[in-house]
Amino acid sequence: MIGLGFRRDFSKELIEGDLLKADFIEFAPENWMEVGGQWGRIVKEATERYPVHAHGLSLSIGSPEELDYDFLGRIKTFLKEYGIDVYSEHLSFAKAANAHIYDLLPVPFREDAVQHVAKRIRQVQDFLERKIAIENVSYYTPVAAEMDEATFIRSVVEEADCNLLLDVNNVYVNAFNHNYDAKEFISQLPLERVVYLHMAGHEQVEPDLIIDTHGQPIIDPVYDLFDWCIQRIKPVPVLLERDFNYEDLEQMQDELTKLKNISKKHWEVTYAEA
Amino acid sequence: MLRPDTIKIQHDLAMYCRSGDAPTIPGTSEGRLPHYRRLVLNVVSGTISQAYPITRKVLSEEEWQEIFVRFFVEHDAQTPMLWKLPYEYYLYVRDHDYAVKFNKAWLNELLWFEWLEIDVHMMPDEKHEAYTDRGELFLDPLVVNKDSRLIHLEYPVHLYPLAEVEERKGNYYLLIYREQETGTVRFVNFSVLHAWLLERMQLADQLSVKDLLPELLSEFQIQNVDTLENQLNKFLLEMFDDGVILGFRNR
Ligand SMILES: [Fe+2]
Repeated sequence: MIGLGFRRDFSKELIEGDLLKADFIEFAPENWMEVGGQWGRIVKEATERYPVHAHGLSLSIGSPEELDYDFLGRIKTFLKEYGIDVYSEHLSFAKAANAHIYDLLPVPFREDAVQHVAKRIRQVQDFLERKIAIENVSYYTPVAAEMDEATFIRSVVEEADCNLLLDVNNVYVNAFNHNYDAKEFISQLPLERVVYLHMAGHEQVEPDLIIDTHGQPIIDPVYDLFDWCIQRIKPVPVLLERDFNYEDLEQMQDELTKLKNISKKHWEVTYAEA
Repeated sequence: MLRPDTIKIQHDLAMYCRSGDAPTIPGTSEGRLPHYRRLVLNVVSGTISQAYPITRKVLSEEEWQEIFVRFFVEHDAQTPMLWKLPYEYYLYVRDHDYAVKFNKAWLNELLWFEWLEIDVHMMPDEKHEAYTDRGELFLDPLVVNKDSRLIHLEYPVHLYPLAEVEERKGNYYLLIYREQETGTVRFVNFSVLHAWLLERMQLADQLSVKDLLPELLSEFQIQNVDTLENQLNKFLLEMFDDGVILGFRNR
C-alpha cells in the first residue's frame, strides 16, 4: 500500500481526478476535525473513497506538561466518526510553557525523558484503546543529549510498548546533519515494531544542513535507503508526504509509482497482482 | 518524573522560538537554533497574514509588525488547531487596545469580520429541521440557515472604504452565512427589525412569523400592520433567494 498525505490543494484531484493513484491517504486530524461545509464534505468523500490513516501534529507527546485530554477526546471522536483505526504522532514536543509552537521540537535524549514520554504514550494508548505508532523526527541540533538518538527511540517504544512509524527521510536528514551512518542507525532500531513508513523530500540549505521541508521530490539516496530498509522489515503501508509545491501532480504520481515499484521488488507477496 | 533541568531545557527551547532570547542548552550545535525560530515564525506569521488580508493591507508595515511581534512573543497559543490561531490573534489585538493606540477605532471589528469569514467557512454543519420549498410564508415556521453568525457592528467595515467608516459609525446588523449547496460564505445586511426577527426565528424554530408578529409589533411599537406585513413579505422572499431561509418546516 502506497499512500499520500491528504492536503487541501490536491484534495479534489484525489477524490475526483485520475492524476493521483494512492492506495490510502493520511489526515492530520488538527486540520480536518470539527469542520463542516465544503471541507467537511471533502473529508467525508475522501474517507468514503480511501482507507485513512490519522497522523497527529499537536498532541505534543514529548511535552513536560500534562496531556491535553480534552483534545485527545476530540481526536478520539474524529477517529470514531470516520472509522479510522491507525493513529500516529511524533516523538517530539510542540507545546511547552502552556503554549503551542506549531512545530516539532526535539526532546532531550535522556533517561528521564524516556520514562516520561513512554508513560504519556501508554496513557494515549489506554485512552484511545489502541496501539499507536510513534515517528522518529528530524532535528537540527542535539538538545542536552545523554544518550544517542537510536537508543532513545528504541527505549521509548519498548518502554511504551507502542509501534514505530519509521520516517526514512528523517533518518537520512538526521544522518546527514549529525554525521552518522543511516543504515547503521536503522539497524539499531526495533524494526519488528515498524508498522508504517514515511517518505518525503527535503531541502539542503547549507553545506552541512538539510531542512526537512517536505517541499521537494524524494532524492535518489533516500530511495536507496528505503530500498535497503524495506528488506529488513515486514510489508507495511508507505506514505509520501508533500507539504509545499504541489504544481506538478504528475511528478508526485511518479514518486508514488517509484515507491510502489521498489516495494513490489521486496514485498512481492503483498503486491501480487490480483 | 522529568528532571527539573530537562523541563527547563524544553521550556527554554520553546520560549526561544518565540522570543529569540538565546538559551543556554548544553550540546546544541552552533547556528542551528535560529532555524527553529525561523520555521516557527514562518508558520505563525503566514497563518495570521493569510487570515487577515485586509487588516494586513490597511495597517502600515510598522503597525502590523508591532502587533505581530508582540503577539508572537507574548501570547501563549492555546488552540491545537493552527487554523484557529487567528481567533486568538483577534482577541489579543482587542484586549491590548491597539484600536486606541493606533487611533483606528474600527480595527477590532475589521479583525472580527475577517475572522468570522473563516469561522463560518469552517464551522461544523448545524442540524436543521427537515424543510420543504412549499408552504405559507407567514403561517409556517421557517427554517433559517444556522451555518451562520448574526452580528452587530458599529463600524461598517464590510460596506465602505475604511477611510469613511468612522464617520459612518452607527448600528449595522449583518448575517455572515454559508450557502448550503456551495459552501460559499456570504453576508447580508439587516435593519434592526429584521435582525430581531431573524434571531427569534433561529431560536424559536417552531414558531411562524405570524406567531412572532405580536411580540415584534410591541417591541418596535408599530401601528400599521399592513405596511409591516407587505414589507416583511418582501424581506422573507429575499431571504429565501439568498439562502438565508432554507425552507418551510415540515409539519
Ligand atoms: Fe513523517
